[in-house]
Amino acid sequence: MKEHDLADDELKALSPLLRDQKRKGDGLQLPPDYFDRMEAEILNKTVGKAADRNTARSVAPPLQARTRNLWVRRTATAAAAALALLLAAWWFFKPQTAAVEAEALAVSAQTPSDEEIEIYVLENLQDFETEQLAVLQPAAGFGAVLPLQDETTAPKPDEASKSELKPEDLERLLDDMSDEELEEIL
Amino acid sequence: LRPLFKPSQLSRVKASKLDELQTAPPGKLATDDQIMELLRSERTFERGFRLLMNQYRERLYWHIRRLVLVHEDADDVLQNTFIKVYRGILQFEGKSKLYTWLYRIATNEALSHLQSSARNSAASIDDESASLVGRLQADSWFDGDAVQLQLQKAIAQLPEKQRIVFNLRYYEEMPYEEMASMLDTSAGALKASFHHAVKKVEALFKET
Repeated sequence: MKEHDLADDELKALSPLLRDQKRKGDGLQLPPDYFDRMEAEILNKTVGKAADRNTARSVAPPLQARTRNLWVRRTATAAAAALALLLAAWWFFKPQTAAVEAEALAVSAQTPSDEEIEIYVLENLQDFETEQLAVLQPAAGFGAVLPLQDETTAPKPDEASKSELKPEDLERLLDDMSDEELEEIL
Repeated sequence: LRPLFKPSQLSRVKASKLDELQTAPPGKLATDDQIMELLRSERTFERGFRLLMNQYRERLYWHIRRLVLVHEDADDVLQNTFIKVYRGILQFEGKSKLYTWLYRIATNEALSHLQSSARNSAASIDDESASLVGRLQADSWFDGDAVQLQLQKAIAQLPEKQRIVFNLRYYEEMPYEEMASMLDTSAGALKASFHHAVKKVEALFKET
């Protein structure tokens, strides 16, 4: 009421003509029950629509939710695939390394020592050819076996021919041998 | 359309207070704070929105109607306004008064409507006001006489912002301070604008 008086006084001072015109009204009218109908219409568009949408959501998920679910599924699949790949890689490399190591250990365990070779040669001397026995170093006697010769350490053809025992060397070797050893050889 | 509630906004209001507001008769006026309390809870949101509409529908309608003049247009603009309010009410931070915020939305909607009408008809400002008054004359919800129609024509010729200030003060008798918070201008500037508008409308009115 106070603001009404202030506004009225202000208008009275500014324009008595407009003040009088204001009192006569502006001629703008409204349909009957307009506000109630308008309110119902707005509620139908807002609250009603939201309720419909909530009902629809319970029946079929909206596109956004479906897309989100799809992404979740894809991410889960990708994670599972990555995990499977990691496990496969671990399985492929890790046990193989262990097997190789185990195999190497087994081979090294099975490799006979020099002493075992010497015993074996002495026990099976009759099975060896003379040429094979000749490979044994005369200085080392039967207690030493020549190491396996690879390409680098293998003697060249002329060197090999030099290292072959000559008949006089063989004779000397036989002289050095005891009677028991000769009996075993024969 | 439904606004999304943040978890922090849910059910912070005391139950007894909500019940009191919910059981209040529809015609009873609620304060802005009470309306906002109802709107902040998902359970009572609809009741709060009904109260808000009930409280402000007439004031907003007349504010819009005096800008767009034709009832049909005012109805469209008012519905758009309330739909925007419905969507954005939870973003209202309470820094200004609720009705100031509502008026701002309604004013923007009305101006957008007028601008879109002007674009469609590609008319000048003078033609625009003439067209507006012509439509008012044809509106079945206008029963004013020739003098009242001339006053509307004079007001329609004011620049947009001056017309808003004139209507808010002349018809709605809104205090300058409230207008200032709504239009982000000083009360003094609005007072000067209103005085200019009154003189201009009076001159245009006398011309015809």
